[in-house]
Amino acid sequence: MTAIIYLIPISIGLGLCGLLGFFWSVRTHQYDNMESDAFRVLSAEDVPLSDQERSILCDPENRS
Amino acid sequence: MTSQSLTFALEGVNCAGCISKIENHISQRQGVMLARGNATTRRIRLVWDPAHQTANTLADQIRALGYGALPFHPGDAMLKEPSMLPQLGLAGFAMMNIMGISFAVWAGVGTDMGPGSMQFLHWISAALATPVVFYAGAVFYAPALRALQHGQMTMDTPITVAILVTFAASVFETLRGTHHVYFDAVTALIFFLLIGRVIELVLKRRSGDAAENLRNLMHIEARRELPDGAIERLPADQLYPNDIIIVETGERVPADGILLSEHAQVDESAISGETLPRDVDRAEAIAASAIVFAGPARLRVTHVGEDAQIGKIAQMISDASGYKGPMQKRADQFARSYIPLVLGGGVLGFVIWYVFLGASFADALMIAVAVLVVTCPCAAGLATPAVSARAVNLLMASGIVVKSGDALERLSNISAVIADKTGTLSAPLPQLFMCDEAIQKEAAKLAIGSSHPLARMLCADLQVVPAAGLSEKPGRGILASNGARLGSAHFVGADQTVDHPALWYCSPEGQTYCFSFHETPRDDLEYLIHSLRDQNLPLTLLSGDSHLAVTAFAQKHGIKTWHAAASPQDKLRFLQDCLSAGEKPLMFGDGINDAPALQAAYVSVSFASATEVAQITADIVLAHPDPKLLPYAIATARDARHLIGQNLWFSAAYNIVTVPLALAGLLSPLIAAGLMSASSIIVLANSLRLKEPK
Repeated sequence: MTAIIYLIPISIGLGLCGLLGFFWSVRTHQYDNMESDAFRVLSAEDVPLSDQERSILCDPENRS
Repeated sequence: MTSQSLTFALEGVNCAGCISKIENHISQRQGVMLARGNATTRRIRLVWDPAHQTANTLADQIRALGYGALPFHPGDAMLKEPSMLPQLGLAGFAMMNIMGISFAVWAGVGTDMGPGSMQFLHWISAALATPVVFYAGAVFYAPALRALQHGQMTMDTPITVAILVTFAASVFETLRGTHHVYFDAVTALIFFLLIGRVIELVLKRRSGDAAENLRNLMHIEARRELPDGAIERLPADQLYPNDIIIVETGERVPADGILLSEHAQVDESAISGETLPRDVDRAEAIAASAIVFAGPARLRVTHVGEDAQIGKIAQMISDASGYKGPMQKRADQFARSYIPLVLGGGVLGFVIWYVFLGASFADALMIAVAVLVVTCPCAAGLATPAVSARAVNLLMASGIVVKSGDALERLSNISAVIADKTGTLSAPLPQLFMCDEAIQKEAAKLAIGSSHPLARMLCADLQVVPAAGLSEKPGRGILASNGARLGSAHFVGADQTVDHPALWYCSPEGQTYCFSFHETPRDDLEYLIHSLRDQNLPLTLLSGDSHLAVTAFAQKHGIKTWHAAASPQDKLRFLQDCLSAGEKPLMFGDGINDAPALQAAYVSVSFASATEVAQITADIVLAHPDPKLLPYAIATARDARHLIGQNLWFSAAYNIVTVPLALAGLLSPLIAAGLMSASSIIVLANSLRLKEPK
């Protein structure tokens, strides 16, 4: 039974990583526009973004 | 490289597909660096290179696709309440982990788990529950505290008490080393209550976005005439009353005004819901947001911004959403009467055991907590949503979108139906009424050259070649080089007038004919009227149309009560009067002019083809403009209410049995958990009995 003393904290720690990922996704507005992205993934071109496009997309002003 | 950016509010966008179409089209234009649309707020963010594009050329590109685009000016309302997603995520994470640990503890109680292991698992649970109680649970404490400062109790009050007392008691018991801990119950309670709050917030935000886009209709460019006759362009929100403005054909009127030109024709569908252009003569008023159909129009501004009619409608929508109180009030009344009973029961249990029966402080507190936990409205909480979820799915399959379970419950309780006429009970445009086909064909040769809705209707199904030398006199009619004329009675030289929409045709030989357009009821309107009669729901017609038209329509279809020439304010007041008189009116409408009434009504229904604002303010949206769906939805809602009633009786019975047991100190946590699960499963199974009504 002594194994639970470190196994349970480890499993909760792993879960916390997932939770932090969720917090990050909320904070970066990833749930603000759920419908459009589902369509955008179908129609967007498969080309990597240029540096300029990336900087425009990362500007908080432009998050729709 | 420099760039310019702007957010546009979009009109006519119904789904994410439209947004995606606009994005693709715009992002392929030269110099466009970013085009990101949001289907929820119906806005698009554009970033572009000013060397290649301007805001106007981009707006024109969007318009060319058939959508409206106006620069969006965020108002103060943009300061949004923070979302509750992080709290929800935390509560869900902690709940699932604590549940897992609890199963081990429960299994351990009956077997040979040592006190050390048990204690360890309790401490882990306590560590997981603490941030949930103090961070996620805070959503409920703040409103409860505010209410308490005003000497009030809301639904948040018992939730707060239950959370804090249960948590404190659990920590206390963990310190003492017993197994009476309820960290799982506390986190589950917070998690499930938060789900409800998050959904509520999302719905509220959607209607807020709609009102803001509507206000944005006013933010357009205006052309002001200066005293020396020069024309100056300026944003519409810089106009003042008594300014003189010029509005060209096809443009939106930026402010309420009085017409100074001899004559103009305007499309006021945004305000009145009337789809046919209206003729306006000198000194008559035109509302902001109307589109000039035949102009140019010279206006003297009377009301600007929030004072303009459209600003008032936007204001009314947000006010009416505050008015939608009865339901919330009832929940609070329930809280006021039920909650003190629960709290009192807990206190009573503690006092009896501690003072009179001589139990230890900890045992007495545990009994008090057992009472609070056992009365925690779990089965009662499931009774309604379980049935609602089933009913909402059933209705969705038939093309009826119910936005909340709450709306469904209200739909089952309605006592009257109030319906708009044009566009709701009748087709949005009048239909051509019996005519000579040969003459129609002749007239269509002229009609094809006009964009007037009646002219388009006239040549709808006909394949004709346009007559030679067509010239349109905006607002009056169209004329061919052979002398044939099509238009108003005055234009073709007929000296008759008719009381319904009509187009007059004068053949090259000078013979005049009249094409009458009659308002046609929606298919299955008779079915709707009969069904509502069977369901004991009186139908009232509430229309902005003229007395003559409304009376004729009502009498023809056997509708006994009607109110004509109602402005958006009148409609809102009528609904509020109904509510004050104790009625529970259902409002059925499609226009922006119906929106305040839709918002105020006990429950409201609109169509998917209705104006966007109407759809967003309505509780229920019908996918097809088919009135037959309404009685079906009402029947389903009533069946659902019946099942909800059964569920509530069952959970009440459950409480009546378990509360005395808990008070008597006979319920161990394990038995209480088993009872709670069983009652929830019974409630769920009963909910699945809901079938489609015949």
